[in-house]
Amino acid sequence: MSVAELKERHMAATETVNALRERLKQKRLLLLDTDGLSWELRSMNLAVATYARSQGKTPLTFGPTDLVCCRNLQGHTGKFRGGLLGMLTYEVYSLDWTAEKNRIVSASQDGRLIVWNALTSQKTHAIKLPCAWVMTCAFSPSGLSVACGGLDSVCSIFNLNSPTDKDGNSPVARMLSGHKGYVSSCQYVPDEDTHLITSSGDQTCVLWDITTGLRTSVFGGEFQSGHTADVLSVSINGSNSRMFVSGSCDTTARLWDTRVASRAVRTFHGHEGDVNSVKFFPDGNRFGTGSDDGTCRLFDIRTGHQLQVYQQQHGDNDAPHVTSIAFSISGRLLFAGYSNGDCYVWDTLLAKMVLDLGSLQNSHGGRISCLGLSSDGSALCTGSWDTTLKIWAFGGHRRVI
Amino acid sequence: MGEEERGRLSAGVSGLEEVSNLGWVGCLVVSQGGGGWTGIGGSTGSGENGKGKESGGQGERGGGRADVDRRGGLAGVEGVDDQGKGKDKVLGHSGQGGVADRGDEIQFSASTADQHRRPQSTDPSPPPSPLITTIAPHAPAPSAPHENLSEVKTQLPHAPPGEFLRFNQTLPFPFRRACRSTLGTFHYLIQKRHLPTQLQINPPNAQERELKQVLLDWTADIERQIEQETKADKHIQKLLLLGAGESGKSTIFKQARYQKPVQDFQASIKLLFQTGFDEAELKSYISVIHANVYQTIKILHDGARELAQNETESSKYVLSIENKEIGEKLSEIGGLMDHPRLTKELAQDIEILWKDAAIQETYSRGNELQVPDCAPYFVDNLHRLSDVNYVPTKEDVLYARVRTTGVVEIQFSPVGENKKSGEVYRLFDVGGQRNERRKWIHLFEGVTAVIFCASISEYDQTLYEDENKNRMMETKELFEWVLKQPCFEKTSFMLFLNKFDVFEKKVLRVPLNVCEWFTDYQQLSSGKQEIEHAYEFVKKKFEELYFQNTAPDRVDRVFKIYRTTALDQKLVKKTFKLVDETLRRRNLFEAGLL
Repeated sequence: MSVAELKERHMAATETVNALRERLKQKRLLLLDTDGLSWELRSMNLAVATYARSQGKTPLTFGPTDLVCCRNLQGHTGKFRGGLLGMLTYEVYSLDWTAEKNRIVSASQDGRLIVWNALTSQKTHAIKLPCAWVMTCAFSPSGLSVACGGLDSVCSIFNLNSPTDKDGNSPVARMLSGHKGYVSSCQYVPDEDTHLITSSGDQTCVLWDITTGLRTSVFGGEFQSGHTADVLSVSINGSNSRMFVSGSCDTTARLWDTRVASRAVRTFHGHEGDVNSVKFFPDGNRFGTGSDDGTCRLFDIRTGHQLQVYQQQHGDNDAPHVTSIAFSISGRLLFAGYSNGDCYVWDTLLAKMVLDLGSLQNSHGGRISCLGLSSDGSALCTGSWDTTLKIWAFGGHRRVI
Repeated sequence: MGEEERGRLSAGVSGLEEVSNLGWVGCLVVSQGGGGWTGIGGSTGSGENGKGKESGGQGERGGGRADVDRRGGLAGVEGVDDQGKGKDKVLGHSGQGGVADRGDEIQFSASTADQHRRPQSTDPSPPPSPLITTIAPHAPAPSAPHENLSEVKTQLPHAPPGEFLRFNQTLPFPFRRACRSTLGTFHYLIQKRHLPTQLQINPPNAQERELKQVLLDWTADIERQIEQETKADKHIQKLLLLGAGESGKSTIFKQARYQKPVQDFQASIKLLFQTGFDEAELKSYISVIHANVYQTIKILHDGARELAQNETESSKYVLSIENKEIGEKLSEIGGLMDHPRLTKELAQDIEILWKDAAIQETYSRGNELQVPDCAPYFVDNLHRLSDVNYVPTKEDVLYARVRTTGVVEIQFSPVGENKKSGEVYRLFDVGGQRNERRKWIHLFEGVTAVIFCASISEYDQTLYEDENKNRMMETKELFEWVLKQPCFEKTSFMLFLNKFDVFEKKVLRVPLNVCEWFTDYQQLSSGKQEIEHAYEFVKKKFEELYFQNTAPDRVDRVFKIYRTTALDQKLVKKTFKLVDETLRRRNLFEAGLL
């Protein structure tokens, strides 16, 4: 078969695929209601509202003192006395909480991981990375090691307890190499110190075995169907750690089963821009996504439907991108950080914004790059390009929601 | 000193250190009488307790003085009390020098084990390790908890008089581990709400206070470490190499290695290469070079076959009968993942095939087929390359094409002779042609300059990834995109118009107008003048592009164009020198000195 013929057949096949995709989209729209809410959520809303009213509970409202910034972690700043160039400041790119004990690890532009004690806001470890271009960091479930990855295409694991060498550098416990593109996000499998999942700019996600340093499974890539563009984030199901969801530049989120690496269980369409962040809902049956098109969406994994859209009306020009999201412990609140420094708190069920952390005192001055909720749900930490990390806690009569 | 006096000693702080492999710990106990500190007890030594003198005394107004050796060696601390009694000098050791006066808050931070650790020391009497000392002011004031949640001041705790705490004086494990267990307790106490969460509040009892102090000191260590590292990094200028695929940026990168290397004595900065490539590294390129050879000949062979099928004058591209078999074999080898070593026989085969008229004809249309630029060079040197004891030369390595993934970095100094005046540069080459650049370009916001490599000889070639896209247009779009990025608002741009040698030869054969960007080009003459004219035209086009995409408030950022041939080492060296001059001027300008 000649090259020209092959090309023709390829083009015809692409056209067929596109047509099929269109038909799928139409069918899906038919199933959903016109304003985007599925019938089940509608009825759920009604039920919730009636129940709440019958119990005398009002919908969730937040006053300005309900969530306060109680800690300001300044550490990614290189200050030195008498320097001509003064202060160098480094943006924070990523953060993660420990599973208990209230510590945070943050990664920044200066190529350093800093481990903080969130309660006392003191630094307990500062690790200078061999490759300065770090994009993500994660704490192991036991809190003994941290993983980080970035442009070097390698996920490095550092053991926090091992002594530093004479240069003050922490030795790398393990380097997980094999990706052909930058590592955009990594997360340990809950309760397992030995496995972690990374997502990468080479369009794949990989499940690693840390003890051997080898890949256990590769999701996507050249020979399997997976994402068709850089994968930007992963989130593992808290209740069933065999399922995880990944979000990518191809505007989709995919649900994977770690036992079946050949194809995704389900693909979720709906976004119109890169999906920057995905997070599982606390009960593990839904997940939220945040995207460059300025919206967050809630998807159901069993039906595959998009349940809710969280969108502020900005007009069409330059809606700020959603860079990261987090759910509260009960799932009632969705925290979303935006590229203009706002951090909206959405009511998940009613899709109403209840609080804008960007309008409070002591809010961030720059783009919010990462968000994380502590394991007991009492505090939210936001990291930003204004080089600080801020911890927000519920004040007043509220404790944990 | 008797037991009763000992009982009156109170602790300000104590510290734990590791001195050597013996792993002993010394501690300094600060005593305080009522209203003033009167004496200091310390224990230093090698493996034993209490070699230092302990003194105590009581006084209404105590006085005290600490004289510390500024070299950071032994410190003498003198305790004097009111009546002049107890004027014992005690040997302690501090990491920093300082003179303290009465009532001052002094903190001798532990310059920690990192700096003073002597892990292989067989010194029989190792000098005493740095101790953490704080000297409490003599008028203890009741401390009020701070109301302001967001500020954490590291103030020293005030020790109420009459309390004595002796922390573990001999611990068989090193400082950090001790601290960790201490911190573990600390965390536990915080969790259980036994400890206040704000550090200003004076913990109720001495043990907690001392835990707090350990934590403060550990944090102070870390801050100092960060400060030192940042200071060391401050004078290194970062350069980012950008460019479309095959623009020659990796070759420029390799050239940078042949610049004068820099010995950087800051232990925390790793230097990748010392003096160019050593033999082991050169040998590691053998497989790459052989792979390049196979790939080249495969591309030519398959290309010939395709042209033979599709072109009207197909007979030009048909291989002669004897060479068909060779061609098939080589094509198959070229398609493998792991290539066999290049043997003399294979080299001969390749040479025969190369000389075939069809292949030559195909090579002349190499611009359509992704034939790498290194093809003629490698074919000319086939005999040398296939030698059993072949060690690649510098030039071979420069010609070798490796697809880069990840980020590679090099530290060098273009004016390396005089270290003081020479700037140190770190050059980063970001490979990876298939990524979404917009997702990671912001990481490079702080670079001093972006070196953009544009290969001017590719105006008639198409992309590797997409055959319908002209490479020059791709470069143009990429340059536009990079100029518009908000993270590069203040960054200088150095444009390297690369592959001038290939351009020279090509511009006389293939007119510039084939590229849609250059359609308005008027050919003037021929020969050398023409080359210069064509080059000036391209240069002007890039300048126009730059100013079109630079906002009016950004026009003062530095922009310079350089003509380069990445393979010419002298030229690249000269270019880097010019870049260095430009950037230094800019730094002086920004510092207000120019």
